Amino acid sequence: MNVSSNSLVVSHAGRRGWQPIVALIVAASAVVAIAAPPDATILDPDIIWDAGNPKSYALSPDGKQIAYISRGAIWRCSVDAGPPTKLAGIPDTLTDFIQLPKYAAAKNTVGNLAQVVRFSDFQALQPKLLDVHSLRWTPSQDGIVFALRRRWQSSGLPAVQRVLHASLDGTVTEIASITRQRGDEPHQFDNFHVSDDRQWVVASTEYGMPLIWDARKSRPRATPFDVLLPSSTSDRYLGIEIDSRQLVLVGGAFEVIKRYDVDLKPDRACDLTWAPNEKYAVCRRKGQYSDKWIALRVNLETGEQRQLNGDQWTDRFDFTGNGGELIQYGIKGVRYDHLDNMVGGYLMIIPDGDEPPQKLSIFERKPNNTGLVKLADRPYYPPVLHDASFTTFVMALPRQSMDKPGFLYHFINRQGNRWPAAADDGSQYLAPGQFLAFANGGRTIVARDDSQLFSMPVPDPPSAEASHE
Amino acid sequence: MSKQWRNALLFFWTFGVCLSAALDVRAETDLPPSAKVLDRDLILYSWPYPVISPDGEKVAYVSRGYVCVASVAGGEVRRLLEVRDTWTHFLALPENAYADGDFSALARSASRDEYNAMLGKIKNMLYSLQWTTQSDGVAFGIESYDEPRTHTHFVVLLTSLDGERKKLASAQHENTARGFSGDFILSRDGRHLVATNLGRRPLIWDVAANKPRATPYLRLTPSATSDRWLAIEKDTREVVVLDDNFAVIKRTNEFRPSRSHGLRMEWSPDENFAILRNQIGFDHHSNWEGFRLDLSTGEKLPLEGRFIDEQIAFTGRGGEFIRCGQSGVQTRGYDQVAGAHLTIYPSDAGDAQDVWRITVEGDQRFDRAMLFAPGRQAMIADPAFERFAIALANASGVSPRGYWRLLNREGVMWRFPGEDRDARVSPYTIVGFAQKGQLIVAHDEKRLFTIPVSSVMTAENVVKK
Repeated sequence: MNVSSNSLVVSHAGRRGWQPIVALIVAASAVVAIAAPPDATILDPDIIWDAGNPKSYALSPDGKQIAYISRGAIWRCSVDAGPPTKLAGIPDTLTDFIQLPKYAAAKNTVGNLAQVVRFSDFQALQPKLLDVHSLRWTPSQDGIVFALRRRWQSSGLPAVQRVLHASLDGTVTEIASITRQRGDEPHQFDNFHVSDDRQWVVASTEYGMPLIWDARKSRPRATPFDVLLPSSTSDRYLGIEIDSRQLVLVGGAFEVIKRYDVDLKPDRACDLTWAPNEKYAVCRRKGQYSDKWIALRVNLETGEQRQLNGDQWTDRFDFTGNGGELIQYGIKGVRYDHLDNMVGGYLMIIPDGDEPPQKLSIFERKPNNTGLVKLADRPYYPPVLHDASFTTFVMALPRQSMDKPGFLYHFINRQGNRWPAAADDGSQYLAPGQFLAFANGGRTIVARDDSQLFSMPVPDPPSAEASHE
Repeated sequence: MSKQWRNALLFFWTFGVCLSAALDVRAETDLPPSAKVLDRDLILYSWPYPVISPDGEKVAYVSRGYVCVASVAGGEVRRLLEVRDTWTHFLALPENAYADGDFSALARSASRDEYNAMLGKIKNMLYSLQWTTQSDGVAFGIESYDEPRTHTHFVVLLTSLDGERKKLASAQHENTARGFSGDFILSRDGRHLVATNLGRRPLIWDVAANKPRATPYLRLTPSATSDRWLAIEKDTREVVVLDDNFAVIKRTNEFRPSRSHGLRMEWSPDENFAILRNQIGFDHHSNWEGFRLDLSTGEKLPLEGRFIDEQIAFTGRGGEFIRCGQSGVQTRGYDQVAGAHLTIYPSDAGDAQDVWRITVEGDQRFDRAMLFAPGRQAMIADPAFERFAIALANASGVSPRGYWRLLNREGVMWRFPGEDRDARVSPYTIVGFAQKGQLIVAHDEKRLFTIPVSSVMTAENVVKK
């Protein structure tokens, strides 16, 4: 999982972004239970993963532990060895229900729950089902924070979203209980950021619309921002101010510290990506009637700007820490389409300055409707992962064989060399499983399949044999 | 504003003009002997309405395509600015003289294509005419568009009485998202405009920067006596007091309910009291709940009503306020008018006193008891809140026609001198009180004039003691 920069999206048109892409990939590996690669270390041999929740895991800041949701609880585990330790029980969440035989059919599928399980069972689950949001480690790694809210919330009833902290010894404390009454806008939130001192929770929807919540006074605070993106390295925020639509630097007390000469049109979806060193940002604006976008990479110190363009709103950026250099990755072709029907994907580096982008990997493939998995379970294309130094990337590339369609992860370095992540016998749709994050300073990759969590060393590039396309 | 909306709006404007014109009798009638004519060659449009300056000495209005100012004492009318391609400019063109300022006459004489071409010539809308606090200038907005009406521009101008012009704001709506689509308020210090935005969140406009600024408030009510504002804060929904730079300087620990279909907020001139009304009903209901709040003690006086359009205003005597409008009863499909009233609520906890009240029962009920001229208030008080001009609906209530009456605090009612006519409003339309309540400013179809209040409050004009 990329932890080097944050991004948060505001959209008027609605956008699902990478979350489903991450989430639904689970289904690919769910079809056939396959042993982990020979050099893998099994961390948890018996997981029930929340296939529909892309944020169901979080790597610790030091890259040595992973926290994840499984079997109605949140667990933590070293990335080098199991067994995991239970941090908090989370009853009434999906993986908790799936442990019951009548909901077992929902395991490792992202299909419509109302159709996957008996409808009467679904009706019993529907009013109770809670989702876990924004699972992440505290900066000090003394525990994890997460939020619980109902998956299906009537807008006519109060909506309660609880933000919790689970310490490493399993003590769970409530940071905030954000109650939104009927008529409150927004009524329900998808993202929750807790300030380091736990006084503030910045809740936002998948379309932005942040709300600053005073956890100590248990009430909201006026939030004059359309977008509020927390820094990954300080208590500051990068924001888009309401009405003026100006890009602003916001302090820990939510005061505007600095205004930048960037105004964003008010009638377009927009999002921000902020470099961890807080010196650069990408301000992106969606096309009015299309998925195309125009973005500005802004040097926040000098005001220097470079325009970027793209075809897919799901495209993503990560700053590498090398000046304004950033990676950009995404899919080509039909947006949101399943792996079987997707036209292609790409990964490229946009250098600092005005040099042309360096295309590290790009592929196109003929859509194939004869996949191994049924349509409802076909996964979306998984996001590119990178190590902390941005020297190694991992990306799922299509098999050449038409007999065994699917994808095999490949590692890619900056020179464009690529090598397969594991031996591939074609038995897995996405092999060797779902990759979750680089760990241990890039030496280890954490992954899972339908029943187990494992880690494996990142193989060295077989330089002589590496293909370079 | 989209082309479709623009066309729809034009249609309704045109319809309104035709309706008004059809109801009006444009022939001049005799004015009362005490009347002093300020302008005898008016061509007014439905809005903006003439407005009297805060010092009560002048009246500003738009006639024949000009923003005009007349002294209530009489004398030369000053034309401050010509705004071409507006309604009154179009009606005053020589080729349209035969219509005598009556758009419906023009419309009736035109073919369909000519009619559409006629509408296409109205390219500027003048709105939100208002005086500066110092009575030394007039501010107004001009909304304009070009064929094919894909872009709307607005400009807000401030014109001094000697004709000096200053642009306060200008932009395209596309660039401002929540532009000056409704009325605006010019702050007392002239540094800001606050667009009320037709019930949506208001927008503060920085005049010096010619840019909108973040406006985290759901409602902004200016003080009548200082640069402060009373506001409902966004997200918290708390009633707060703001300084001249819109920073919160006081919190009241009172909150607007989360469920709201509209909010009205009044602030007493001494800034010690506020009245909040939250509309609960919607569609055919506009019933509301609210309270008067003592901002010093937190003491509340609960209030409720059936129609949110009821006028409420502080009188300047502490927490005393008047309440004027129609009363109603709840029915299954809508709230029916059951009467009207003008009531004074004392500053203390004493009982409210009706200055005037009418009640109609059952089958006698009609659709209105007071006449709300389009956009105009049905009650106008003099500066001291001693006398009130109220517009009553005709007893038949079958058409939107009515007549003005003058009331005092003791409940004595006078008719205004002049002929009652078969016009929409009789005997003429009241603009307001001038010269500290000594004069009434009024207009008919062709003339703007004043009449002394003393000439109204005579024994022969008394309708009710």
